[in-house]
Amino acid sequence: MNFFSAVQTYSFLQNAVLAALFAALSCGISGTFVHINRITFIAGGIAHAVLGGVGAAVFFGFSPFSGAVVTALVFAVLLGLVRLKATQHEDTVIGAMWACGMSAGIIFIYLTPGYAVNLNNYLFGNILLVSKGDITALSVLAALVILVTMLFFRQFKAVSFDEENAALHGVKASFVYILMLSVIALTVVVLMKVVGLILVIAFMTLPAATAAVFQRKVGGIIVLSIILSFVFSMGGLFVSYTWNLPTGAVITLVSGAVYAVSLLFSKISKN
Amino acid sequence: MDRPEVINFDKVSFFYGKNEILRDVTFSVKKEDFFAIIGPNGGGKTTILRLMLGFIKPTSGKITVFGEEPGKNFVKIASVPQFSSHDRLFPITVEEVVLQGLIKQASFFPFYTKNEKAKAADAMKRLGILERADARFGDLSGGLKQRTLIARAIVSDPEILLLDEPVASVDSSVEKDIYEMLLDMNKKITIVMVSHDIGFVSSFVNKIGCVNKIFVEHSSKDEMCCLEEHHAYSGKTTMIHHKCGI
Repeated sequence: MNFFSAVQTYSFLQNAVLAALFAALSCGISGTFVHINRITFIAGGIAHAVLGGVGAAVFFGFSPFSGAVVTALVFAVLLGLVRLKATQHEDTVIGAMWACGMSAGIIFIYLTPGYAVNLNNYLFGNILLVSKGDITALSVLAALVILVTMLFFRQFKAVSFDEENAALHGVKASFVYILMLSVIALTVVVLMKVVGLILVIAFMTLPAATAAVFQRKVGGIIVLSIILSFVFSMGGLFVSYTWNLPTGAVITLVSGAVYAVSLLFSKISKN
Repeated sequence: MDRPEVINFDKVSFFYGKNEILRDVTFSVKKEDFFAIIGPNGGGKTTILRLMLGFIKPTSGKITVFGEEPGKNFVKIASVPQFSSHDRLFPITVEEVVLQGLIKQASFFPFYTKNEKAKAADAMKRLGILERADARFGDLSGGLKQRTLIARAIVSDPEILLLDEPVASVDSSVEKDIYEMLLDMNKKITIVMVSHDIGFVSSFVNKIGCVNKIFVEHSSKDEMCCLEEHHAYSGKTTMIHHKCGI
């Protein structure tokens, strides 16, 4: 059976398509802010530290998903404060949180008795294992990401471009910055399901970076990167279904290839 | 007619960690003054502006802006930052940069209104950059960037305009244009400007303060003439050095 008739037949593939849609909506938005603020490292830090929350949730008998949401938000605030307050060694502190959060997760999962947690599912995700319940949760997170960004779009842009000027006009710049990281954190949780924590970076950077080659405004980059990341996911899903390859990794390579081609294209068209 | 006082520094000192940056700085700025603060690099010029904006608090002494603590008057005070350290690749057009001068604390609506866009167009027109409205900010020359940042500052009709080295990165013909534009704005707006260079400044401003940890004000014409005369044959910083003894 080919990919397209399989999508019509199997509900797990339909769920995968929906999950990719919600992932595209959230990472199109968050990825754009990661790109224009040049904070890939912070996004990566949040993503990896989330494993700590997932591990703790599993160990104490809560749902891994809620553990992920809470930890992602906590680390968004912590990393935001580091970014805003640290005068030096910002990247060291972020790196330490990144590694320690992840290590805590590995230990918690190791210690969880009688629970055969497959660590790989969190690290590499599995878009083909997304359940109906997951879809509801992902849709709520994506809706939150969209809503908060709609309300604070001006402020997000202003703080990204020139924090001091925004503050001068009465914008609570630190609050807005941390709110923006929280939106990114929620996106990390959505992406965890689709590509896994390790590859979150791919979704946070590649679609927006590709879109930025062709668009000159923040709004335009957001719209184009939503479209691109959905197309990348579908492309990856198609390739991985057809040749039976790991989905998250294939999606990442598809995105990377398109990014490389678009950079090449922009170089050539400039000359 | 005595013009009302808009900014007042009363024995203001500021320490950055253990380093004393400013000592007992006292001066006042009156409405429609064109006030230049001059001094060597690291002398505390930018610190004075940041204190006026309320970004930092004095270690001792008192500052008032329109009779209030700084930082509470964001509708009335606008600032043009030291030459743009903005990300050159940031996806933003000239118009969008200018519109950011109108951003408010809470505007729960992602787009700018027609009225706001008209104000931005008016500010761009005054700075002669209207035809560049759709250009990417990062692609502009230094002079045009500076004009854009000035347009962003005046778009909200502020009563005080603070400028930090407004001509540091432009060539001398653009420098003269920018000063003439500022002089024209000064008919309505109080201007406080920081500069390390006294070149054109003295012929435009009505008050000069020299700062190098301590602050000395020159408000009488005689002193300013003396500064200019001196300027003709000696180095700029040396001249300030002699005159103020700082």
